[in-house]
Amino acid sequence: MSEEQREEIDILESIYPDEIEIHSETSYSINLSLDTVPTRLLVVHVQYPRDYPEVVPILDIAVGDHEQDSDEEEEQRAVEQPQFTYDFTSSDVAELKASAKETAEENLGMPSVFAIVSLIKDAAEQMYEDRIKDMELARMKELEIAEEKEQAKFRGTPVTAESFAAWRTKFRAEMGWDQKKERPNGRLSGKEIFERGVEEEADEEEDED
Amino acid sequence: MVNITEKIEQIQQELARTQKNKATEYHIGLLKGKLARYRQQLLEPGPGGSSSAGQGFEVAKSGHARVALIGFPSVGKSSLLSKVTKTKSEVAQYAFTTLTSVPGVLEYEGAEIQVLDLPGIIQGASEGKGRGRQVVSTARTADLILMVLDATKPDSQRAILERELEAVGIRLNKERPNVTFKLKQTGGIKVTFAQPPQKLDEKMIASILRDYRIMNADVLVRDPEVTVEDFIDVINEQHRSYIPCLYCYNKIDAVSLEETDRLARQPHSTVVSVSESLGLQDLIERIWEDLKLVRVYTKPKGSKPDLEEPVILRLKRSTVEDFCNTIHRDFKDKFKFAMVWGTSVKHSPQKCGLGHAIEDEDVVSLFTRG
Ligand SMILES: Nc1nc2c(ncn2[C@@H]2O[C@H](COP(=O)(O)OP(=O)(O)O)[C@@H](O)[C@H]2O)c(=O)[nH]1
Repeated sequence: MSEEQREEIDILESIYPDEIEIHSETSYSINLSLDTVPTRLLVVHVQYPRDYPEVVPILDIAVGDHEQDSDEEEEQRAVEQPQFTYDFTSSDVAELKASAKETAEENLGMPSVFAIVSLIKDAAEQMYEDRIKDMELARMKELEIAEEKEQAKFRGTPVTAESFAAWRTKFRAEMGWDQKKERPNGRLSGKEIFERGVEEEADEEEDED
Repeated sequence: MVNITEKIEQIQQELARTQKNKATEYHIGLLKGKLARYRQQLLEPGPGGSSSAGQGFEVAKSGHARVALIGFPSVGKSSLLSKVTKTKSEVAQYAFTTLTSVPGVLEYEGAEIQVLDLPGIIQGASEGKGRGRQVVSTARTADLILMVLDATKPDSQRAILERELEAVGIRLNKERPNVTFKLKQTGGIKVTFAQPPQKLDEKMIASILRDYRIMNADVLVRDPEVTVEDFIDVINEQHRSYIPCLYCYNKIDAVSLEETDRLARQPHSTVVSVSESLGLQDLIERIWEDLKLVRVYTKPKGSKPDLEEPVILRLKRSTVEDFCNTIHRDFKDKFKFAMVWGTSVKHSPQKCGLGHAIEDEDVVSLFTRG
């Protein structure tokens, strides 16, 4: 481990006293709490190659577990619960890593982890805001479409006695409601038998009384 | 008493929270069973409690069938009622504490159909409010529920009412699940599946029964499609009503013909404009069909049948014996046989016994002893 590396870790330890976790003399991670509602966590892993800062540090970013809020906090937060929340995806993380790498390369030759971590935090917060904005826009669009659909039923052909009668005739024909109900083997109902006068009398009737 | 409404709320929240998967299946089943039990408790007046929800206020059933109107306020129920029914002054004597208006009578095809307007929404009933209970118990006695909807309002109105009815144990356009459930004194729980079940298993049934403190029972599941909800309905059988429902979309004069056509194509639906008198004839026809009443024409010996004044029977109670009972309670003791003309017999006329099932528009002659 070089002097420069040790110095940078010392400085980072004073900037991030609660956030930094030292894994070895040349590797550590920083737990970033983003200023988002609700709070999102990112863990930035840093490993120094032997020649850092002459070469870029090895960086990794992971999405941290949500902090378990105490009940009280949770209750408090529920009041100001935003309509939308977002969880970073792996492609978001890849995007953040790419910009971190760029910053690392721009700073080649000098200790750059603070700059990189700051950039990650800013970029992630901006990204979170953008994602939420996209969701809000999409929701608004949805509501507009729903409202538009709701309004559509008041436009079109007006229902009048005439237009309804024409529709009804077509609709009933389509549903087959005007056809006489199909009866097995073309059997007539009792009423129809007598209406048409085709009834057979009951033989038994004569035997009665 | 612990607040049941709160318990119901808790279970509903837990159900909403719980993801549905193999691991939570039994837990969800149990929750649904509990939910049904608490909802039931809400609908039952507490023991010795102020049970103003007595049967005394029930509207007397009159006519051959009863149709209950259900819908949000201002959808046009009272307009509809006054347009298609006659109000019978005699019924006005009853105490209509559960009703917003006096029942009307719809006369059609020789049948008298009583039409009741139940208060706006059953809301409150599923929360155990006294008046709501009366409304529910009245709704249960209906042969058909006519849900009146406003064509200018979003589709969600229908779902809200359906959920309310569901919560109080009324099942719309649904057959009783094909499950036999017999309580026993001993022998434990015995479950038999006539076919491999698709949506249920023995463990689920056993755990729900345990939750209901039922230790001994025979269960025979005939239909493989029976769900957990269906099974819970079977255990709560005496508190479930399976009632046909016709959805009536009113105020189509205020929407387009295209929307009218879309609404008319919804299942069990019909479209009307009460104020413009559109579609009312079709509505009455659909009510008649859904009630599945059976018209029987009586033919006196040696003369023509009276084709104007049928005797009206219910489809599920339409045997020759039921027909005899409409004449007189003791008539069947003198009964010898019936001659039947119509679709219920192979050859018209045919000699039939008391057990023969009469069909719509049959002509019947009764023959008696000595
Ligand atoms: N446009 C239109 N309005 C109607 C129609 N039927 C009823 N209304 C109106 O809807 C309102 C509520 O009707 P009402 O019968 O009192 O509804 P209820 O509260 O369900 O009994 C009244 O102002 C009626 O004039 C209809 O077919 N078309």
